[in-house]
Amino acid sequence: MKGSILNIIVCGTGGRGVQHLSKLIRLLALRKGFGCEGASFKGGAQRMGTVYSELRIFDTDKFELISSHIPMGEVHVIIGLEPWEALRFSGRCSQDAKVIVNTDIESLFIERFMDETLSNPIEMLASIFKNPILKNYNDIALDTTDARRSVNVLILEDAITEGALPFTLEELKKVY
Amino acid sequence: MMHRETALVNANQAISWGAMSAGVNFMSHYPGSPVNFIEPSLKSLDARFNTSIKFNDSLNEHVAALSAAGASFCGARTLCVMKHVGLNIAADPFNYLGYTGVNGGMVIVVGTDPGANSSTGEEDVHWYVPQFNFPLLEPTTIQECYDFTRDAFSLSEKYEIPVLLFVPGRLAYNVSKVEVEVEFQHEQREFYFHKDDERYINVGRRAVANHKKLVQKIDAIGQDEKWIKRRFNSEATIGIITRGLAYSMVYECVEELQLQNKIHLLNLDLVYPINTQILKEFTAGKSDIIFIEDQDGFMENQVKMTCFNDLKCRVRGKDLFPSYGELSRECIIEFLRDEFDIQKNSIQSIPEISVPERLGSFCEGCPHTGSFFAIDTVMKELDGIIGGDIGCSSLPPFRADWLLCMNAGIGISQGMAQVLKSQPIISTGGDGSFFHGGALSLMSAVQNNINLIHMVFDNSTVAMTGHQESPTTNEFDHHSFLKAIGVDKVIDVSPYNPMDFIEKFKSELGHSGVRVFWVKGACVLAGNEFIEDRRERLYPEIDSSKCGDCTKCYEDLACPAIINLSEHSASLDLKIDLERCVRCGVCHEICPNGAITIHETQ
Repeated sequence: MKGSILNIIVCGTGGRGVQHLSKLIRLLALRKGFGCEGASFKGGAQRMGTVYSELRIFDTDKFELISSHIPMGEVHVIIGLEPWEALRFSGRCSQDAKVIVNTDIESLFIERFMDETLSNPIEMLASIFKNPILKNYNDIALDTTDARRSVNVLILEDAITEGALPFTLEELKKVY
Repeated sequence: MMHRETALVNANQAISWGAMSAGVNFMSHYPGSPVNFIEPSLKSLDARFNTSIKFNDSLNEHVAALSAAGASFCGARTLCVMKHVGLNIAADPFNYLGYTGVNGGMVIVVGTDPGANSSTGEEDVHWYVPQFNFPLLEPTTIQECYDFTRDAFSLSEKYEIPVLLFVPGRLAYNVSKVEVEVEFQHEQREFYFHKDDERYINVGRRAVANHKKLVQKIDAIGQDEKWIKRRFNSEATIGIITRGLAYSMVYECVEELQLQNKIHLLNLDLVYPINTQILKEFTAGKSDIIFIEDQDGFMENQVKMTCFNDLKCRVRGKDLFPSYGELSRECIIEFLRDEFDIQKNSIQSIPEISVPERLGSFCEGCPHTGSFFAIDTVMKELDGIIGGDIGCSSLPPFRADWLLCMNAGIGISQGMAQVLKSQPIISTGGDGSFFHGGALSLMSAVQNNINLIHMVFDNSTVAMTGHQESPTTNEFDHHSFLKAIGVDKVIDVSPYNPMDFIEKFKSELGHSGVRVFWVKGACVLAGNEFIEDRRERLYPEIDSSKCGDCTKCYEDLACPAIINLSEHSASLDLKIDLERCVRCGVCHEICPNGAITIHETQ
């Protein structure tokens, strides 16, 4: 882990499983003996609003207490369950941040009321991050025979395989 | 020896575990983020450990406060939970509970929201604390949420005074490992109300005498109780004082900048009353004291007030850190760098991309979708005013003309209705806000002979905060109720039949008196029979050859299941996303061109 604190943002929209995915990461971290601080924000909307978690995984031997705030420019990993939401946190990322994003777009719901022309968030993610993992995990989940491998699990598998998270696929299997 | 285990819990759950461990007998609450999961968590623990806790799912915070007081007067250990804006509603009774004191320990948990992440405001409710004269504890971690809740019950019973616990949103939904007790011997208490007119008939000389006792209690707590943490170098001439989450932020920043030898850090867990002796000891020999806390600077203000003559050093706080929004870590780092002449690191970050804020919207099939289509259709033509209220009905922020506090719909509207001459006005609100206080406002409109249409969106639940029960969840005879309070006319409408809604609404506009439109349609996320009946049977389709691009379904109804597949923003190619559509059929009802057909599934 970078500097012994790994800062992660898990983001998406209401109903996409941000809280569940965050919980899986917390479980993985705590089972492995790391500390985990963080905060979750889910707004007031039942669905379709911005939802995100800040997670900070750290070595408890080195840190007695850390805050739940991720420093500006020090997000090391974004796991995005929606591309617009992943893009929203770009300004908080370190230059070598790893980005794993489900490309299934949830409409911002702004386009039907305003004349604003919105860019394609997937293209923007591809242009500003180095080697982002951009896949439609919904489609992959539909093709997967193991029903337990939901979008959340599939995206976590990729994050682990890419070295973005300090866990193994075997450790992941034990928590879902 | 107590058996303890490690639980992975959020702060809401940690508080319920703490209350369970302290032997709580009674819980009252009014649901509100970020403390809306304490009640279901405690109910679950109650079922698991068979502890027979009594619950009062109060209709507002005023009732929650008073019912908790009643149980405590009889000797029950009592937990009372609400969000920060709810404390405004409960403030009246809390102003008296210090005077009467309590018998069973009474702990009041208040969810605060610096940054207004799930609220209409970020009001700093610390200012109520010296007015109530209740001790206030502020945890930094989830473990402390558990520990402080247990300790707060003991503190409350020791001094016979309610104890406050403030939990900010950033902490409330965080999850961490917590050491909890899992075997309890709940003390068997005989509940009995011992009459004592010196305490409970709080008027005249008794009120003054009780006030004096309260002040003495608070003075004693301020001298006896030492809820603090001290860190780093006690010889340092610069001292920082924190509370709550600011403690962990400052702690981390000091370590990051390696200032451990140059700073002495004091965190006050007991934020009120201030232990002046500790403050005097801490400030002695310091050249500078800096208060770092979120919101308005309550702690700084208290210390300056209570230790004014003893502070011989330079004191700073809110002149350095803003009182709005969440306390920023960057702000603390920047201050420390300036103070200790530490060069800034150049951070190489990714450029920030401005992504538009997501507007709130109703869920697919939500009854409010059809309701607001009908309301907008009528009111747009008249340039009418739509009073909005707290709840799911106000999620799309542009549908009503204001969004402030509970009952602001009917409350503000009736004042407007009394002074406006030509502008039409209606008020709206859900059944949750109706029972919270809206019904009283309605009675006030009747009492004052105000001409007003009020729309109650009865979705059979308190949807926004987690689908808690409302009086409408079971059978509720709204006709009898509204008739009894003097409403002139009650009109039942269905949100799934917007054209009928529009017709009835238009026909009421020229009439006088207090009229209530009761809009019945259950929340689609909590079991809506109308939707469930249609979901498997039907599917809608837009015939693009008939579509006149009027945008009634896309912009006015604004159902999220209706999407525009056109690649050019200026043109429309509307389709219904059948994955999202729940088959409510409202789009079919409102289409003026007959372009939306409902088919039977083969």
